[in-house]
Amino acid sequence: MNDSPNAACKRSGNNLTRRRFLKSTLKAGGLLLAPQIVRGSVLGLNGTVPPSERIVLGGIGLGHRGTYDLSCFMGEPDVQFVAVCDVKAKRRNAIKQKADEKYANKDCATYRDLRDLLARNDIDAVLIATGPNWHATAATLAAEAGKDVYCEKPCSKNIAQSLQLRDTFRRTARVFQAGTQRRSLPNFMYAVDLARRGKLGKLQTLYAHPDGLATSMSGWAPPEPVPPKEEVDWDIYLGPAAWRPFNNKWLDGFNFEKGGGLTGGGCLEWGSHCVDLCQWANDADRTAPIEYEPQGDQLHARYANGVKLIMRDNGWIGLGSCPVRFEGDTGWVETGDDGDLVASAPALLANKSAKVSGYPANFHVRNFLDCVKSRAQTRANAEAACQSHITCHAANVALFLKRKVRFDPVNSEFIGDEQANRLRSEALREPWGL
Amino acid sequence: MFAGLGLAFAFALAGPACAQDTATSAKEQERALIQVLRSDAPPGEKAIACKKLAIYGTGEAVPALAPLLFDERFASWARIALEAIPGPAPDKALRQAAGDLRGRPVVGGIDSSISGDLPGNNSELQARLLVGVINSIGVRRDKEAVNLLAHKLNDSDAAVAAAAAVSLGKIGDPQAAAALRRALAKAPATLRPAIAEGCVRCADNLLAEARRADAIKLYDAVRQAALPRQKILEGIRGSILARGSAGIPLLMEALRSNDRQYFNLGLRVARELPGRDATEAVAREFRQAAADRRPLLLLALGDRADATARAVVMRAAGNSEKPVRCAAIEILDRSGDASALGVLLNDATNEDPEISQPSLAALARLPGGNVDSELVARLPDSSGRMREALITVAARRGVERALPLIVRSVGDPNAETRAAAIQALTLLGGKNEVAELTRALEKSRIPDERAHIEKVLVALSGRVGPTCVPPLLALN
Repeated sequence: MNDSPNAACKRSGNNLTRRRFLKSTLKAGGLLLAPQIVRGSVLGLNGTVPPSERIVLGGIGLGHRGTYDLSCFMGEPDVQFVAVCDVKAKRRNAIKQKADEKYANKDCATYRDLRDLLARNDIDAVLIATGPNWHATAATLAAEAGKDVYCEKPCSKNIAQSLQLRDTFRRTARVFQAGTQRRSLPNFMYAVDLARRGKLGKLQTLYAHPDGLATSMSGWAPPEPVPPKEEVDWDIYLGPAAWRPFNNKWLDGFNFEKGGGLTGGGCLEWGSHCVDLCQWANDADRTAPIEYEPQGDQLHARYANGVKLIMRDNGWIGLGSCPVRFEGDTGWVETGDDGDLVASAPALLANKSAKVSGYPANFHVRNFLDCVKSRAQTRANAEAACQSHITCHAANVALFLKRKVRFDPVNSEFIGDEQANRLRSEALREPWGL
Repeated sequence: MFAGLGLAFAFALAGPACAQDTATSAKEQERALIQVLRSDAPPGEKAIACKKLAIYGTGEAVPALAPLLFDERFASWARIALEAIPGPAPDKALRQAAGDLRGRPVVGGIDSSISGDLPGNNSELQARLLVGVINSIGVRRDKEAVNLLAHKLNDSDAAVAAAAAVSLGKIGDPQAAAALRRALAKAPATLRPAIAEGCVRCADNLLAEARRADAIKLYDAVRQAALPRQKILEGIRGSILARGSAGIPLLMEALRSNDRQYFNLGLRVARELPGRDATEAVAREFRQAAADRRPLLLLALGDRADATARAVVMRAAGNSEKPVRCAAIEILDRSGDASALGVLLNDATNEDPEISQPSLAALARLPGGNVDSELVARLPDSSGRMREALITVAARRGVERALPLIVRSVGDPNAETRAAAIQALTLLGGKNEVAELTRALEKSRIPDERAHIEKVLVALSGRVGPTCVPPLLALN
């Protein structure tokens, strides 16, 4: 399972602090320092932060990943975490204990129904780390309630949800950050920067590693006795997913109804990271490829600007999980979760900054908090997340149909392909809507 | 994966992909799936059949799907198919269900021990299923349903009325707009936020169809209604954007507000509203704003990225209070071009590292082919902090043309310049620089200078490898 919080902590050495990263990066003259400098001196974060300047945070669906994300939030001095919502009593109680210990009080409120947490006027922002089944619906409800949102990935179950998410955050003028934290990690940022600034020449081919390129389908399992609502609220857990009887094995959240059931798999799970990075490298945050074709154990896509996107399982240098490789006509660069960069020429790496391995989320969380204050777009904003998720969903549709599909990114529809178009959306269970 | 799961789950996995493999026609698929729905098949099989009908179903499947809208186990599955199947038949079935659900008993029958906490009595269940049907009508944007939905705005169940409002917003035609505007004026406070959501969605759709005046009426109605803050903000945003330049006074009102939420909305819309007039208005506001707001306004201007905004940012990077200057450097790092070279080089020589370091980082990434040439051209006549900055930036940008000039700086009397040169050569130097430095070492009689050159040679030889051996062999 990717993004295990424990693994992330271990691989980042547990000691990696923002301050340490900043210091080492300053020394190395690294990437994108300015936002952090601006935060310190401009946005009112000099040591202690008065309560009036703190971002009041709530959490929705905080399991393993959510607990890790929350630790990143609670490590920031301008965050006050006040409430947790989870359909599972054990989880909400564990988070309450963690928060109450941190603040030495008993103030962290607990909720079973996210609508109750979202009704609180004192909460500015929410961390959403439910299973993927709930991500888009919960994020939409939060935005409509006037909250800024940090939402774990994959953020949507299909193409229509991706568009609705984007439109909701436009309409409500709320800040959104997808939990694609590699957009805030120096090695990935550096590689993307080389591609975007023409250092590799004219971009030719982008490679992503959405491990497990296959579609899967959820369905119906034999009924089991449903636990008491206070222990596990099955109705809310099911949420927007079509109704089925309780079965304990659905409760992992992580895989339940990912990708809307008909189409899911690694393409969405990992692709929301590595395909997203390719989108960014190709300056394609507002568009998506126009063709998708399964080829053996790969999926080949092509953008309107001629750049190829290849999703593959094999052929990597070995730089850890979630590798990406960008090839231009004069050079190439490859990087992964180990934090190392390999390039076609040493000069391409002359400006690289201190190595950070283990894909920690704290820089990404900081970027979100800064944008909550400045109202700027985050690095993984709703527009960008929309298109990178659409790319993953469209690839999944091609994998599911086992044939080439052509896509019109302007109208967000497959061209002359009714079967593919019917896979763009899926009804939500009552009473939920987007 | 799931040991012991029923036949339905296996069916689900084998489903459409299997259909592809066997080249069974979609029509045959549909017939088989309809048969499943009409049979005594287990619930799981019926549910997955609905899901497959979303791909293979036509109007012929609708009569088999429609009754499921009255069954709490299958309503959500049936709507998956009904939302996806093209043509008028699903619309008609959904409208029919929306009309009938209140007056007709719905099928429950789920054993409460396995059902979770679904609504218990028939009326609640009817309302919940009705909400689902109304949501699907909205997704399909069925204009023939506008009257029906307008009627549902008065439903005794608030969730039904709220769903009707949002679906009317999604349909988004003038008739829907009229119904929503009327409802907003008279709805109880608890329902008003949902109606406001419908209004804003509807106005967005009207605007997309170039019905600007109609859209503005709706946005204005929302911003002037008694609503929760978030809904009012959405109305204000729409009102400003729909008006274009004529919305600037409203934008300024937001940017001058003492209310943080209102000001925040202004910061967002200041990035969205197109046009030079808007940029100039935001720039004026930036110049006269309180100190704590100026960096935020500059960041918003920076995101507009037009010529007027760029000029303001350049001035701020060159001469302003520190927080504003830092914001300007951040913007130039993100979107600056060769024209920012001079101002960033000056900032890079600043004694405050919170100004100089981000400036160096921005310079290292500054796009434009002539930036490298300009750096090389400035190097010979430079000295002190400027020389140090030029060397550092040239190295980080990988400007190999600068190497001969950087080699000479290894013996610079200024310690910081020497350090920059050593760092640069270590990063960038190659075989040629080993030879150059070897010759310099042979000539030099100054102990300090020799020590520096030796330091670079050690670093370089480690990186260059065996090709550096021949020139090094020349050393005594």
